Amino acid sequence: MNFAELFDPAGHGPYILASYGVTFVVLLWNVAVSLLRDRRLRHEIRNEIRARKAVP
Amino acid sequence: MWSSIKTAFHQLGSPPTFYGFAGRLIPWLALITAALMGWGLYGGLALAPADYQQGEGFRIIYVHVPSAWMSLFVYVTLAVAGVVALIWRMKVAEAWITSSAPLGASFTFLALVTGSLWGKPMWGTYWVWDARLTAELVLLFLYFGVIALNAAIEDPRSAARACALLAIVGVVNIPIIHYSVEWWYTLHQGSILANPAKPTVHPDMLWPLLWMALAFNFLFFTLVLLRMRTELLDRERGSRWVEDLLG
Repeated sequence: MNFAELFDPAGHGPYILASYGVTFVVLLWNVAVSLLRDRRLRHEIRNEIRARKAVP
Repeated sequence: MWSSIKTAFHQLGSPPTFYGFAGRLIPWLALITAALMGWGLYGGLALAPADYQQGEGFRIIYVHVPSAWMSLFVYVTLAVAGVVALIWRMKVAEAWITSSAPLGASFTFLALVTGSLWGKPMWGTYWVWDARLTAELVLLFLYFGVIALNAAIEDPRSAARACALLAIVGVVNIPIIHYSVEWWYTLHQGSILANPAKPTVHPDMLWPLLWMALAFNFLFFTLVLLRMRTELLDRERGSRWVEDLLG
């Protein structure tokens, strides 16, 4: 692999970098959002259950 | 055989069973995704030779083509889930619709953006109103439609049924996208796997593409199962099984 040729700013380098960059940002954003939403909802439901149990 | 498939279908239609099943599957799917993605990237960026006409720029296909394939595949699963949701009223199928639409939209967005970034050095322009590109843009709007419809209707079951209908109607766009390069004169090139027995790409370039396509598939299944678990928890938050699980 020749990184200098692959990411050559005078050649196709910027387009390759932008393509791989946007792909991984979008995919990782999806991973992060899915995990965070799951975590937040679990926390919310646990609080609801605790609040219900606390009522005598 | 048929009866065991039928039993599994009915068992997985139950939210608590599906929740547990998906939870056991997700770590394995994530592991396979990471391995395939690593291998695909290494193959695409390091092992595959530069194209004799397109040079290094051809390597964009390793993210563009899997995204484009996934954009079509996810929409087909959306329509199938729509049929299941309308006929059998299965909550799991409804959760599939709401969970997979944002992922499908992401893949479609990526297919369009990476395609534009490939088009600029190869065609000399980021965008043309070509049949393939326009139909893919329509697909993105269809995904946005499903997402917006789901957000606009308060009752999740009614929202899922409305989204199912839109998904089924919109599936007509899938063959249009696929065959657009054959039906019309387009700038977009034809399928490299039109005849899988005789691909038009050298195996050194083709294998990394297939690994990346598989990686994107596994990533989709990992994320859709994760999102479906969240969706089912949200819908069933007042039920006994959720209380037993999180209480």
